[in-house]
Amino acid sequence: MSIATLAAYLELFQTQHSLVTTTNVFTPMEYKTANLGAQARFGSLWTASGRSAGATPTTSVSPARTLAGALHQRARVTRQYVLGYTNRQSTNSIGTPVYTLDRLVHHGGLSGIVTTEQTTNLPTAALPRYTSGEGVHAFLEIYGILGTTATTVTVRYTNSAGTANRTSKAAVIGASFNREVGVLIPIMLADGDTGIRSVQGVTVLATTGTAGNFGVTLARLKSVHLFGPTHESTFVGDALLGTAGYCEPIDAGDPCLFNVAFGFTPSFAALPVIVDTA
Amino acid sequence: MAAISDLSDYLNLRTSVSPAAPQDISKFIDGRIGSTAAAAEVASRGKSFWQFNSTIGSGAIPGTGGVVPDNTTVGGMRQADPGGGRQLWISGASALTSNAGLYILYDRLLHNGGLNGTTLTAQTVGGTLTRNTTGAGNMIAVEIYAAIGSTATTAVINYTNQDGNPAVTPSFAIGGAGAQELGRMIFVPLAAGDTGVRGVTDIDLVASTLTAGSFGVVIMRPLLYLASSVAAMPASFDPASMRPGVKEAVTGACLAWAMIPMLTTNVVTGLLTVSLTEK
Repeated sequence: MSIATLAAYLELFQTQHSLVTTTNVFTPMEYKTANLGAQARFGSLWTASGRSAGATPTTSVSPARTLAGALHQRARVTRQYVLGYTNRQSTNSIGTPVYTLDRLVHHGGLSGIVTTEQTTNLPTAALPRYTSGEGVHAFLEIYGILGTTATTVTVRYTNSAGTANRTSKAAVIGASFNREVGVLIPIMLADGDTGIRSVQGVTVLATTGTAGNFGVTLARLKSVHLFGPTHESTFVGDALLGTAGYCEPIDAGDPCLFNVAFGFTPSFAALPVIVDTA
Repeated sequence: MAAISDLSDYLNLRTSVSPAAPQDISKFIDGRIGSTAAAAEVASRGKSFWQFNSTIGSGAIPGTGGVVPDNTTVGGMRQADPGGGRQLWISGASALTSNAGLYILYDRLLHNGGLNGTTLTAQTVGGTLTRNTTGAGNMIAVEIYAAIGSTATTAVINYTNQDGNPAVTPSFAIGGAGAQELGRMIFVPLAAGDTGVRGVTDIDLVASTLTAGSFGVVIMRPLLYLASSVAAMPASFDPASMRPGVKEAVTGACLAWAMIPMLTTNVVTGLLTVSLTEK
Protein backbone atom coordinates (compact mmCIF):
# COMPACT_ATOMS: atom_id res chain seq x y z
CA MET A 1 0.00 0.00 0.00
CA SER A 2 1.39 3.36 -0.92
CA ILE A 3 1.02 6.64 0.93
CA ALA A 4 -1.98 7.81 -1.02
CA THR A 5 -2.35 11.44 -0.11
CA LEU A 6 -0.47 14.44 1.17
CA ALA A 7 -2.63 14.43 4.29
CA ALA A 8 -1.69 10.83 5.06
CA TYR A 9 1.97 11.63 4.56
CA LEU A 10 1.90 14.64 6.82
CA GLU A 11 0.18 12.65 9.52
CA LEU A 12 2.81 9.96 9.25
CA PHE A 13 5.61 12.45 9.51
CA GLN A 14 4.09 14.27 12.44
CA THR A 15 3.00 11.29 14.48
CA GLN A 16 5.33 8.58 13.24
CA HIS A 17 2.42 6.21 13.25
CA SER A 18 3.05 3.15 11.24
CA LEU A 19 0.53 2.15 8.66
CA VAL A 20 1.01 -1.30 10.10
CA THR A 21 -0.49 -0.90 13.53
CA THR A 22 0.93 -4.10 14.90
CA THR A 23 4.45 -2.77 14.51
CA ASN A 24 3.84 0.73 15.69
CA VAL A 25 7.13 0.90 17.54
CA PHE A 26 9.28 3.99 17.60
CA THR A 27 12.82 3.99 16.34
CA PRO A 28 15.23 5.24 19.03
CA MET A 29 16.45 8.77 18.91
CA GLU A 30 19.81 9.13 17.20
CA TYR A 31 22.10 11.05 19.49
CA LYS A 32 25.80 11.31 18.81
CA THR A 33 28.50 13.39 20.41
CA ALA A 34 31.96 13.00 18.99
CA ASN A 35 34.42 15.05 17.06
CA LEU A 36 34.24 13.04 13.92
CA GLY A 37 35.02 13.65 10.30
CA ALA A 38 36.66 16.61 8.64
CA GLN A 39 35.75 19.77 6.81
CA ALA A 40 34.27 19.19 3.39
CA ARG A 41 34.51 15.43 3.62
CA PHE A 42 31.96 12.68 4.08
CA GLY A 43 31.99 11.45 7.66
CA SER A 44 30.48 8.31 9.13
CA LEU A 45 28.66 8.56 12.46
CA TRP A 46 29.07 4.80 12.99
CA THR A 47 31.55 4.98 15.85
CA ALA A 48 30.40 8.31 17.28
CA SER A 49 29.75 8.18 20.98
CA GLY A 50 26.27 8.74 22.32
CA ARG A 51 23.42 6.35 21.89
CA SER A 52 24.63 3.11 20.41
CA ALA A 53 28.21 3.85 19.40
CA GLY A 54 29.45 1.29 16.91
CA ALA A 55 32.61 -0.68 17.46
CA THR A 56 35.53 -0.85 15.08
CA PRO A 57 34.97 -3.94 12.99
CA THR A 58 37.65 -6.56 12.43
CA THR A 59 36.66 -9.46 10.23
CA SER A 60 34.42 -8.61 7.32
CA VAL A 61 30.78 -9.16 8.13
CA SER A 62 27.37 -7.96 7.12
CA PRO A 63 26.25 -6.01 10.19
CA ALA A 64 22.76 -6.44 11.57
CA ARG A 65 20.02 -3.85 11.95
CA THR A 66 20.34 -4.02 15.72
CA LEU A 67 24.12 -3.79 15.97
CA ALA A 68 25.49 -0.90 18.01
CA GLY A 69 26.14 1.99 15.67
CA ALA A 70 23.08 1.34 13.56
CA LEU A 71 19.79 3.23 13.71
CA HIS A 72 18.15 0.12 15.15
CA GLN A 73 14.88 0.68 13.32
CA ARG A 74 12.02 -1.69 13.89
CA ALA A 75 11.86 -4.83 11.80
CA ARG A 76 10.55 -4.37 8.31
CA VAL A 77 7.10 -5.73 7.52
CA THR A 78 6.84 -5.14 3.81
CA ARG A 79 8.42 -1.87 2.83
CA GLN A 80 9.94 0.89 4.89
CA TYR A 81 11.06 4.39 4.13
CA VAL A 82 13.47 6.57 6.07
CA LEU A 83 11.37 9.63 5.48
CA GLY A 84 13.40 12.05 7.49
CA TYR A 85 14.36 13.41 10.85
CA THR A 86 12.67 15.73 13.28
CA ASN A 87 14.12 17.83 16.06
CA ARG A 88 17.55 17.56 14.63
CA GLN A 89 20.31 19.69 16.04
CA SER A 90 23.90 19.80 15.01
CA THR A 91 26.87 21.96 15.79
CA ASN A 92 28.51 21.26 12.52
CA SER A 93 30.73 23.96 11.09
CA ILE A 94 28.09 24.63 8.49
CA GLY A 95 24.60 23.46 7.81
CA THR A 96 24.94 19.98 6.51
CA PRO A 97 23.13 17.22 4.74
CA VAL A 98 22.71 13.86 6.40
CA TYR A 99 22.63 10.76 4.29
CA THR A 100 21.19 7.46 5.48
CA LEU A 101 22.90 4.42 4.03
CA ASP A 102 22.42 0.67 4.16
CA ARG A 103 25.68 -0.62 5.62
CA LEU A 104 25.93 -3.83 3.65
CA VAL A 105 29.41 -5.00 4.66
CA HIS A 106 32.18 -3.59 6.79
CA HIS A 107 35.61 -4.55 8.02
CA GLY A 108 38.67 -3.08 9.74
CA GLY A 109 42.27 -3.72 10.62
CA LEU A 110 44.17 -2.03 7.80
CA SER A 111 47.22 0.15 8.41
CA GLY A 112 48.34 3.51 7.11
CA ILE A 113 52.01 2.55 7.09
CA VAL A 114 52.02 -0.74 5.20
CA THR A 115 52.89 -0.15 1.56
CA THR A 116 52.38 -3.63 0.22
CA GLU A 117 48.92 -4.90 -0.60
CA GLN A 118 46.97 -5.50 2.60
CA THR A 119 44.56 -8.41 2.75
CA THR A 120 43.94 -8.43 6.50
CA ASN A 121 40.36 -9.57 7.16
CA LEU A 122 39.71 -9.53 3.42
CA PRO A 123 38.05 -10.38 1.08
CA THR A 124 34.88 -8.64 2.17
CA ALA A 125 31.90 -10.77 3.08
CA ALA A 126 29.28 -11.47 0.44
CA LEU A 127 26.77 -8.69 -0.09
CA PRO A 128 23.48 -9.54 1.66
CA ARG A 129 21.45 -7.26 -0.61
CA TYR A 130 22.08 -5.76 -4.06
CA THR A 131 24.22 -8.83 -4.51
CA SER A 132 25.48 -7.96 -7.98
CA GLY A 133 27.08 -4.84 -6.57
CA GLU A 134 25.30 -2.53 -9.00
CA GLY A 135 24.52 0.72 -7.21
CA VAL A 136 26.73 -0.22 -4.26
CA HIS A 137 29.33 2.33 -3.16
CA ALA A 138 32.67 1.37 -1.61
CA PHE A 139 34.42 3.48 1.00
CA LEU A 140 37.52 3.37 3.13
CA GLU A 141 36.35 4.20 6.66
CA ILE A 142 38.89 5.50 9.16
CA TYR A 143 38.65 4.11 12.70
CA GLY A 144 42.05 5.16 14.10
CA ILE A 145 43.69 8.38 13.00
CA LEU A 146 46.18 7.99 10.16
CA GLY A 147 49.37 9.91 9.55
CA THR A 148 49.94 13.45 8.38
CA THR A 149 51.57 12.52 5.09
CA ALA A 150 49.28 12.51 2.08
CA THR A 151 49.54 9.59 -0.29
CA THR A 152 47.16 7.58 -2.44
CA VAL A 153 45.41 4.27 -2.07
CA THR A 154 43.96 1.76 -4.51
CA VAL A 155 41.58 -1.12 -3.99
CA ARG A 156 41.52 -4.49 -5.75
CA TYR A 157 37.94 -5.58 -6.22
CA THR A 158 35.39 -7.65 -8.06
CA ASN A 159 33.08 -5.53 -10.15
CA SER A 160 29.33 -5.86 -10.56
CA ALA A 161 29.81 -8.04 -13.63
CA GLY A 162 31.75 -10.54 -11.52
CA THR A 163 35.16 -9.70 -12.94
CA ALA A 164 37.81 -10.10 -10.24
CA ASN A 165 41.09 -8.27 -9.71
CA ARG A 166 39.94 -4.90 -10.92
CA THR A 167 42.02 -2.02 -9.57
CA SER A 168 40.29 1.16 -8.51
CA LYS A 169 41.51 4.60 -9.38
CA ALA A 170 43.79 6.12 -6.79
CA ALA A 171 42.24 8.13 -3.99
CA VAL A 172 44.01 10.47 -1.60
CA ILE A 173 44.55 9.16 1.94
CA GLY A 174 46.48 10.63 4.87
CA ALA A 175 47.06 14.25 5.94
CA SER A 176 44.37 16.68 7.04
CA PHE A 177 40.85 15.92 5.87
CA ASN A 178 41.82 12.39 4.83
CA ARG A 179 43.09 10.95 8.11
CA GLU A 180 40.56 11.76 10.83
CA VAL A 181 38.41 9.19 12.57
CA GLY A 182 35.09 8.88 10.80
CA VAL A 183 36.24 10.13 7.40
CA LEU A 184 34.80 8.11 4.54
CA ILE A 185 36.90 8.02 1.39
CA PRO A 186 34.79 6.97 -1.62
CA ILE A 187 36.45 4.41 -3.88
CA MET A 188 36.41 5.34 -7.54
CA LEU A 189 35.94 2.50 -9.97
CA ALA A 190 38.14 1.56 -12.90
CA ASP A 191 37.03 2.72 -16.33
CA GLY A 192 34.15 0.65 -17.63
CA ASP A 193 32.97 -0.52 -14.21
CA THR A 194 29.64 0.54 -12.76
CA GLY A 195 29.44 -1.32 -9.45
CA ILE A 196 31.44 -3.22 -6.86
CA ARG A 197 30.67 -6.66 -5.41
CA SER A 198 33.60 -7.33 -3.08
CA VAL A 199 37.07 -6.13 -2.16
CA GLN A 200 40.10 -8.41 -2.07
CA GLY A 201 42.99 -6.09 -1.20
CA VAL A 202 43.98 -2.52 -0.40
CA THR A 203 47.32 -0.92 -1.31
CA VAL A 204 48.61 2.30 0.24
CA LEU A 205 51.21 3.77 -2.11
CA ALA A 206 53.46 5.28 0.56
CA THR A 207 53.27 5.50 4.31
CA THR A 208 51.04 8.12 5.87
CA GLY A 209 53.36 8.05 8.91
CA THR A 210 50.91 6.52 11.39
CA ALA A 211 49.36 3.06 11.30
CA GLY A 212 45.96 4.05 12.62
CA ASN A 213 43.17 1.75 11.56
CA PHE A 214 40.88 1.75 8.60
CA GLY A 215 38.67 -0.67 6.71
CA VAL A 216 36.36 -1.20 3.79
CA THR A 217 32.66 -0.37 3.98
CA LEU A 218 30.24 -1.31 1.21
CA ALA A 219 26.98 0.60 1.37
CA ARG A 220 24.02 1.83 -0.62
CA LEU A 221 22.44 5.25 -0.27
CA LYS A 222 18.85 5.01 0.95
CA SER A 223 17.76 8.56 1.64
CA VAL A 224 18.97 12.15 1.57
CA HIS A 225 18.10 14.69 4.24
CA LEU A 226 19.16 18.23 3.57
CA PHE A 227 19.05 20.79 6.31
CA GLY A 228 19.31 24.54 6.64
CA PRO A 229 22.19 26.82 5.83
CA THR A 230 23.30 27.49 9.38
CA HIS A 231 24.71 25.40 12.15
CA GLU A 232 23.31 24.89 15.62
CA SER A 233 19.81 25.06 14.26
CA THR A 234 16.78 22.84 14.41
CA PHE A 235 15.26 21.67 11.20
CA VAL A 236 13.00 19.03 9.89
CA GLY A 237 14.72 16.91 7.30
CA ASP A 238 12.09 15.49 4.99
CA ALA A 239 13.35 13.10 2.35
CA LEU A 240 10.33 13.19 0.07
CA LEU A 241 8.96 16.70 0.40
CA GLY A 242 11.51 18.90 2.06
CA THR A 243 14.76 18.08 0.36
CA ALA A 244 16.12 16.18 -2.57
CA GLY A 245 13.29 13.75 -3.14
CA TYR A 246 15.68 10.84 -2.67
CA CYS A 247 14.11 8.07 -0.59
CA GLU A 248 14.68 4.55 -1.77
CA PRO A 249 12.34 1.98 -0.23
CA ILE A 250 13.67 -0.68 2.08
CA ASP A 251 12.10 -3.75 0.62
CA ALA A 252 14.73 -6.46 1.02
CA GLY A 253 16.10 -7.76 4.28
CA ASP A 254 16.41 -5.63 7.38
CA PRO A 255 19.27 -3.28 6.59
CA CYS A 256 21.86 -1.94 8.97
CA LEU A 257 21.11 1.76 8.58
CA PHE A 258 23.65 4.38 9.58
CA ASN A 259 24.15 8.06 8.99
CA VAL A 260 26.79 9.95 7.09
CA ALA A 261 27.28 13.69 7.42
CA PHE A 262 29.31 16.08 5.30
CA GLY A 263 31.84 18.00 7.32
CA PHE A 264 33.12 17.99 10.86
CA THR A 265 30.44 16.77 13.28
CA PRO A 266 30.78 17.56 16.96
CA SER A 267 27.21 16.61 17.76
CA PHE A 268 24.12 15.28 16.11
CA ALA A 269 20.68 14.60 17.50
CA ALA A 270 17.66 13.52 15.53
CA LEU A 271 14.59 11.43 15.75
CA PRO A 272 14.29 9.29 12.64
CA VAL A 273 10.95 9.01 10.94
CA ILE A 274 10.82 5.51 9.56
CA VAL A 275 7.49 4.20 8.39
CA ASP A 276 6.18 0.91 7.14
CA THR A 277 3.81 0.64 4.24
CA ALA A 278 2.16 -2.72 3.91
CA MET B 1 0.41 9.81 -20.36
CA ALA B 2 0.34 12.68 -17.88
CA ALA B 3 2.57 14.71 -15.68
CA ILE B 4 2.58 14.42 -11.90
CA SER B 5 -0.54 16.34 -10.95
CA ASP B 6 -0.06 17.33 -7.30
CA LEU B 7 1.71 16.37 -4.09
CA SER B 8 -0.66 13.53 -3.31
CA ASP B 9 -0.06 12.09 -6.75
CA TYR B 10 3.71 12.48 -6.26
CA LEU B 11 3.70 10.79 -2.84
CA ASN B 12 1.48 7.99 -4.08
CA LEU B 13 3.77 7.33 -7.05
CA ARG B 14 6.91 7.62 -4.95
CA THR B 15 5.74 5.07 -2.38
CA SER B 16 4.28 2.59 -4.82
CA VAL B 17 5.94 -0.17 -6.78
CA SER B 18 3.09 -0.51 -9.22
CA PRO B 19 3.12 0.02 -12.13
CA ALA B 20 6.84 0.74 -11.65
CA ALA B 21 9.14 1.35 -8.71
CA PRO B 22 10.74 4.81 -8.52
CA GLN B 23 14.45 5.03 -9.13
CA ASP B 24 16.97 6.65 -6.77
CA ILE B 25 20.46 6.87 -8.23
CA SER B 26 23.56 8.25 -6.52
CA LYS B 27 27.11 8.92 -7.56
CA PHE B 28 30.08 9.95 -5.42
CA ILE B 29 32.88 11.87 -7.14
CA ASP B 30 36.33 12.76 -5.81
CA GLY B 31 37.66 15.67 -7.82
CA ARG B 32 40.05 13.60 -9.90
CA ILE B 33 39.97 12.53 -13.52
CA GLY B 34 41.88 9.29 -13.85
CA SER B 35 45.14 9.75 -11.98
CA THR B 36 45.08 13.52 -12.33
CA ALA B 37 43.46 16.05 -10.03
CA ALA B 38 40.88 18.01 -11.94
CA ALA B 39 41.84 21.58 -12.72
CA ALA B 40 41.54 24.19 -10.01
CA GLU B 41 38.21 25.93 -10.12
CA VAL B 42 37.87 29.33 -11.67
CA ALA B 43 34.85 31.25 -10.51
CA SER B 44 32.12 31.41 -13.14
CA ARG B 45 33.88 29.00 -15.49
CA GLY B 46 31.98 25.84 -16.31
CA LYS B 47 32.99 22.42 -15.05
CA SER B 48 31.90 19.08 -16.47
CA PHE B 49 31.62 16.07 -14.18
CA TRP B 50 31.45 13.68 -17.15
CA GLN B 51 34.96 12.30 -16.72
CA PHE B 52 35.26 12.72 -12.97
CA ASN B 53 36.22 9.56 -11.10
CA SER B 54 33.07 8.10 -9.67
CA THR B 55 31.72 5.24 -7.61
CA ILE B 56 29.46 4.16 -10.48
CA GLY B 57 31.89 4.73 -13.33
CA SER B 58 33.42 7.59 -15.28
CA GLY B 59 32.62 8.85 -18.75
CA ALA B 60 35.04 8.14 -21.55
CA ILE B 61 36.34 10.64 -24.09
CA PRO B 62 34.02 10.34 -27.10
CA GLY B 63 35.19 9.44 -30.58
CA THR B 64 35.89 11.96 -33.30
CA GLY B 65 32.48 11.90 -34.97
CA GLY B 66 29.44 13.22 -33.18
CA VAL B 67 27.89 10.30 -31.31
CA VAL B 68 24.74 10.03 -29.21
CA PRO B 69 25.22 8.85 -25.63
CA ASP B 70 22.17 7.36 -23.97
CA ASN B 71 20.92 6.09 -20.63
CA THR B 72 23.29 3.12 -20.77
CA THR B 73 26.42 5.19 -21.32
CA VAL B 74 28.85 5.18 -18.40
CA GLY B 75 29.33 8.73 -17.20
CA GLY B 76 25.62 9.44 -17.03
CA MET B 77 23.30 8.47 -14.17
CA ARG B 78 22.18 5.37 -16.12
CA GLN B 79 18.53 5.29 -15.18
CA ALA B 80 16.22 2.62 -16.59
CA ASP B 81 13.80 3.68 -19.30
CA PRO B 82 10.07 3.76 -18.48
CA GLY B 83 7.87 0.90 -19.57
CA GLY B 84 4.26 0.37 -20.56
CA GLY B 85 3.91 3.61 -22.46
CA ARG B 86 4.61 5.61 -19.33
CA GLN B 87 6.86 8.66 -19.00
CA LEU B 88 9.76 9.12 -16.62
CA TRP B 89 9.80 12.26 -14.50
CA ILE B 90 12.70 13.76 -12.59
CA SER B 91 11.05 14.04 -9.19
CA GLY B 92 14.16 14.81 -7.16
CA ALA B 93 17.81 15.75 -7.44
CA SER B 94 20.63 17.02 -5.28
CA ALA B 95 24.24 18.04 -5.71
CA LEU B 96 26.89 18.56 -3.08
CA THR B 97 30.56 19.35 -3.51
CA SER B 98 33.17 21.26 -1.59
CA ASN B 99 32.42 24.26 -3.85
CA ALA B 100 29.27 26.30 -4.38
CA GLY B 101 27.55 27.51 -7.50
CA LEU B 102 25.03 26.45 -10.06
CA TYR B 103 24.67 22.74 -10.72
CA ILE B 104 23.18 21.71 -14.05
CA LEU B 105 21.48 18.38 -14.66
CA TYR B 106 21.25 17.95 -18.40
CA ASP B 107 20.53 15.46 -21.13
CA ARG B 108 23.80 14.92 -22.98
CA LEU B 109 22.32 14.69 -26.45
CA LEU B 110 25.45 14.40 -28.60
CA HIS B 111 29.17 14.68 -28.06
CA ASN B 112 32.47 14.20 -29.83
CA GLY B 113 36.16 14.29 -29.03
CA GLY B 114 39.48 14.37 -30.81
CA LEU B 115 39.56 18.10 -31.54
CA ASN B 116 42.74 20.00 -30.85
CA GLY B 117 43.87 23.43 -29.81
CA THR B 118 46.39 24.04 -32.56
CA THR B 119 44.41 23.29 -35.72
CA LEU B 120 43.38 26.41 -37.58
CA THR B 121 41.17 24.80 -40.18
CA ALA B 122 37.59 23.83 -39.52
CA GLN B 123 37.35 20.78 -37.26
CA THR B 124 34.33 18.62 -38.00
CA VAL B 125 31.82 17.63 -35.35
CA GLY B 126 28.78 16.15 -37.13
CA GLY B 127 26.41 13.50 -35.86
CA THR B 128 22.63 13.49 -35.69
CA LEU B 129 20.43 14.13 -32.68
CA THR B 130 18.02 11.39 -31.66
CA ARG B 131 16.42 13.24 -28.71
CA ASN B 132 14.91 16.70 -28.71
CA THR B 133 15.52 16.76 -32.43
CA THR B 134 13.68 20.03 -32.97
CA GLY B 135 16.62 21.65 -31.25
CA ALA B 136 14.53 23.94 -29.08
CA GLY B 137 16.32 24.69 -25.82
CA ASN B 138 19.47 22.83 -26.76
CA MET B 139 22.82 24.40 -25.99
CA ILE B 140 26.38 23.99 -27.24
CA ALA B 141 29.35 23.50 -24.93
CA VAL B 142 33.01 22.84 -25.51
CA GLU B 143 34.48 20.29 -23.12
CA ILE B 144 38.22 20.03 -22.48
CA TYR B 145 39.41 16.40 -22.28
CA ALA B 146 43.14 17.17 -22.05
CA ALA B 147 44.55 20.62 -21.41
CA ILE B 148 44.91 22.78 -24.49
CA GLY B 149 47.31 25.73 -24.71
CA SER B 150 47.76 28.64 -22.37
CA THR B 151 47.47 31.17 -25.20
CA ALA B 152 43.99 32.60 -25.31
CA THR B 153 42.27 32.84 -28.64
CA THR B 154 38.73 32.77 -29.96
CA ALA B 155 36.63 30.38 -31.97
CA VAL B 156 33.29 30.18 -33.70
CA ILE B 157 31.00 27.21 -34.23
CA ASN B 158 28.93 26.55 -37.32
CA TYR B 159 25.64 24.96 -36.39
CA THR B 160 22.06 24.38 -37.44
CA ASN B 161 19.56 26.33 -35.38
CA GLN B 162 16.13 25.37 -34.06
CA ASP B 163 14.52 26.30 -37.38
CA GLY B 164 16.87 24.16 -39.42
CA ASN B 165 18.85 27.11 -40.72
CA PRO B 166 22.66 27.34 -40.78
CA ALA B 167 24.07 29.74 -38.20
CA VAL B 168 27.38 30.83 -36.73
CA THR B 169 27.96 31.52 -33.06
CA PRO B 170 29.50 34.76 -31.88
CA SER B 171 33.20 34.30 -31.25
CA PHE B 172 34.01 32.97 -27.80
CA ALA B 173 37.18 32.61 -25.77
CA ILE B 174 39.08 29.33 -25.80
CA GLY B 175 42.55 28.58 -24.52
CA GLY B 176 44.30 30.49 -21.79
CA ALA B 177 43.62 30.42 -18.09
CA GLY B 178 40.08 29.39 -17.28
CA ALA B 179 39.39 28.09 -20.78
CA GLN B 180 42.03 25.45 -21.31
CA GLU B 181 42.05 23.07 -18.34
CA LEU B 182 41.04 19.44 -18.06
CA GLY B 183 37.34 19.21 -17.22
CA ARG B 184 36.51 22.78 -18.16
CA MET B 185 33.18 23.29 -19.92
CA ILE B 186 32.78 26.39 -22.06
CA PHE B 187 29.14 27.30 -22.66
CA VAL B 188 28.90 28.79 -26.14
CA PRO B 189 26.47 31.61 -26.96
CA LEU B 190 24.16 31.20 -29.93
CA ALA B 191 23.67 33.72 -32.71
CA ALA B 192 21.28 36.55 -31.93
CA GLY B 193 17.69 35.38 -32.10
CA ASP B 194 18.45 31.67 -31.93
CA THR B 195 16.93 29.56 -29.19
CA GLY B 196 18.22 26.11 -29.92
CA VAL B 197 20.51 23.76 -31.82
CA ARG B 198 19.79 20.82 -34.11
CA GLY B 199 23.37 19.99 -34.98
CA VAL B 200 26.95 21.23 -35.03
CA THR B 201 28.92 21.22 -38.25
CA ASP B 202 32.37 22.30 -37.15
CA ILE B 203 34.45 24.57 -34.95
CA ASP B 204 37.04 27.09 -36.16
CA LEU B 205 39.84 28.43 -33.99
CA VAL B 206 41.13 31.87 -34.99
CA ALA B 207 44.64 31.17 -33.70
CA SER B 208 46.53 28.36 -32.05
CA THR B 209 46.44 27.95 -28.29
CA LEU B 210 49.94 26.44 -28.79
CA THR B 211 49.09 23.06 -27.26
CA ALA B 212 46.96 20.51 -29.08
CA GLY B 213 45.43 18.92 -26.01
CA SER B 214 42.06 17.35 -26.65
CA PHE B 215 38.59 18.75 -26.59
CA GLY B 216 35.15 18.14 -27.99
CA VAL B 217 31.74 19.64 -28.53
CA VAL B 218 28.64 18.71 -26.56
CA ILE B 219 25.05 19.40 -27.49
CA MET B 220 23.15 19.48 -24.23
CA ARG B 221 19.63 20.07 -23.07
CA PRO B 222 19.57 21.54 -19.56
CA LEU B 223 16.85 20.02 -17.42
CA LEU B 224 17.42 21.36 -13.92
CA TYR B 225 19.43 24.22 -12.46
CA LEU B 226 20.19 23.81 -8.75
CA ALA B 227 21.88 26.60 -6.85
CA SER B 228 24.15 26.45 -3.81
CA SER B 229 25.33 29.73 -2.37
CA VAL B 230 27.73 28.44 0.29
CA ALA B 231 30.68 26.09 -0.15
CA ALA B 232 29.88 22.53 0.88
CA MET B 233 26.17 23.30 1.07
CA PRO B 234 23.99 21.05 -1.03
CA ALA B 235 21.76 22.26 -3.81
CA SER B 236 18.53 20.44 -4.31
CA PHE B 237 15.29 20.18 -6.15
CA ASP B 238 12.36 21.13 -3.94
CA PRO B 239 9.70 18.44 -4.16
CA ALA B 240 7.26 20.32 -1.92
CA SER B 241 6.96 23.14 -4.40
CA MET B 242 8.06 21.08 -7.39
CA ARG B 243 10.58 23.80 -8.13
CA PRO B 244 12.33 24.37 -10.44
CA GLY B 245 9.79 22.25 -12.29
CA VAL B 246 9.27 18.58 -12.91
CA LYS B 247 11.04 17.68 -16.12
CA GLU B 248 10.79 14.56 -18.16
CA ALA B 249 13.73 12.25 -18.66
CA VAL B 250 12.83 11.10 -22.14
CA THR B 251 13.51 7.56 -23.25
CA GLY B 252 17.24 7.08 -23.64
CA ALA B 253 18.17 10.33 -21.91
CA CYS B 254 21.81 10.54 -20.85
CA LEU B 255 21.49 12.40 -17.54
CA ALA B 256 24.79 14.11 -16.76
CA TRP B 257 26.01 16.84 -14.41
CA ALA B 258 27.95 20.04 -14.84
CA MET B 259 28.39 23.13 -12.71
CA ILE B 260 29.33 26.77 -12.81
CA PRO B 261 31.35 27.19 -9.62
CA MET B 262 31.02 30.33 -7.59
CA LEU B 263 34.28 29.94 -5.71
CA THR B 264 37.86 28.98 -6.42
CA THR B 265 37.56 26.18 -3.86
CA ASN B 266 38.47 22.96 -5.60
CA VAL B 267 35.94 20.21 -5.95
CA VAL B 268 37.63 17.43 -3.99
CA THR B 269 34.63 15.30 -3.25
CA GLY B 270 30.92 15.31 -3.88
CA LEU B 271 27.67 13.43 -4.21
CA LEU B 272 25.17 13.76 -7.03
CA THR B 273 21.72 12.20 -6.84
CA VAL B 274 18.68 11.96 -9.03
CA SER B 275 15.28 10.43 -8.33
CA LEU B 276 12.85 9.43 -11.04
CA THR B 277 9.19 8.49 -11.03
CA GLU B 278 7.19 6.83 -13.76
CA LYS B 279 3.72 7.84 -14.71
